[in-house]
Amino acid sequence: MNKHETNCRRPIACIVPPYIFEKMLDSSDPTVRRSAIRSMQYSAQLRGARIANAEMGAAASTVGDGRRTLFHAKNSFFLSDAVLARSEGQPPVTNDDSVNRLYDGLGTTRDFLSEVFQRNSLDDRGGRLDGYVHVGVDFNNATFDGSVMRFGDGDGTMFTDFTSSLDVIAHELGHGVTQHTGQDLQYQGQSGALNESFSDVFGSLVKQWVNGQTVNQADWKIGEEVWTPGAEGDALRSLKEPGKAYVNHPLFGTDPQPGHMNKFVNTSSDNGGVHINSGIPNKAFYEAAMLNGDRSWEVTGQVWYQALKESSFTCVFQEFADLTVKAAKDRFDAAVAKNVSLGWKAVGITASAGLSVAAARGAFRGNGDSCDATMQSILGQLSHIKRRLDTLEKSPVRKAQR
Amino acid sequence: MKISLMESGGWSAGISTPGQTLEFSELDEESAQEGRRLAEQLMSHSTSPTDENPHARDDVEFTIRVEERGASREFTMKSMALTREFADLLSWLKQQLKEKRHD
Repeated sequence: MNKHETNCRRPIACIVPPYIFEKMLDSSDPTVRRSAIRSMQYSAQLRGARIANAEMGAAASTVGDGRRTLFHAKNSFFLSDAVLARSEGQPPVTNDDSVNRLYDGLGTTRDFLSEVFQRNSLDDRGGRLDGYVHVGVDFNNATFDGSVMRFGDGDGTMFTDFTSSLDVIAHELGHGVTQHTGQDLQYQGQSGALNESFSDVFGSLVKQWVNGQTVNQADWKIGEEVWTPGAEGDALRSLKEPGKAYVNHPLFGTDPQPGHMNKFVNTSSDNGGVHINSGIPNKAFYEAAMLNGDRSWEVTGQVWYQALKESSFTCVFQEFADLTVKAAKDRFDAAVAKNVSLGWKAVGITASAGLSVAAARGAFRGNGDSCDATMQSILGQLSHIKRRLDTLEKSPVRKAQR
Repeated sequence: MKISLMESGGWSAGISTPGQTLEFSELDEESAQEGRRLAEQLMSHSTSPTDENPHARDDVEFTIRVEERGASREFTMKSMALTREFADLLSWLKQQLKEKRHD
């Protein structure tokens, strides 16, 4: 066996950038060129197979019913240390309120998705809902990792048990909805702030829905039950008044969220301020919901959900604003579209229903053409490689001929 | 030896949280010995986190600074990508800080 073939005998295990293979095609050694071509062909076939398998796997997988499974993490950060605490259909446990609260919160959110958005769990295919409680020691956080949720107990000063707040539970599930809707929203900069904002909006919608609240009755707060257990009435975030969820707290100062584009925070921390600048679209949602009135999930929530479906991976505030106005016009009427537009105007964004680039991309994806386009791209690459191969076989030692 | 802990991101992103420091001179001998063992384990075994998950949302980042005799080393990892050595020291540190708060 040739030494070059030995180095890349199993292309699947080789993490070699394509330009290296391109360079290898210039080699005067025909063995090197053959090896490069084989790897390029294999790589392109693999990419095609991966996409095809993913599509077929999704199509063939059994549709579930959003089964809940809860685990006790035993104050470890590692899920492998956890033990089963409660499964779907089992009665409440007698010795752990966190387990029961999370079980109920997941159920309420799943019901909201089904009844309000006609959606079967996070992925619309009845994907299971796995949650872990008592994660870490004094862990001041709740997270979603793409498949499971983790909830800390809090340190008792800054936060208390994160399962105590339905909008926090729904917020985490909201990330799952975003992940499985449209192209997901990149967790960085403005698209990341939109990702965070949709989770806040979703958390607030679920809470308002289960409590049967009108927009005037809602508190529009996020995390009131878990934030600073020693202080009454404050919250971690406010959709109604970003920047005023808590003010002059002796330990934690004042809510840093802006509620207008003129206070947009440019920062490299927090993935470009995803938890900070989310205050701007949060406020736009609140303003639009107040103008549309009644129950936020019936009109404004539907508009935001439709816009999420059409948004691109790197969507910015302006694109998302345009998509909401378009969705309001498409699904409702000019009056709702005007209210949504005024909601964005209140935060310094002029939105219109014109078919923006993002909206055009959304319409394209809506027909399921994105996968076809990717497959076309891969077929194009294979065709390109074949042409290179044909050329090389006609001219075995290119450099020598130059 | 003293160990400091800073946290950023996640649900407390953007909030100015003071770091917390644990002076080993304030600990009983057994606790200090255990803390020293875990710190040395972290320093000798692990300097880079496990692969980060691109779908991680609301993740928090921990920074542990170990200081002794004028020298210091810092380790930063996200909660969903911790190494076992980092997690062991973090859990011990959190427990000690909790007990200190309650004293």
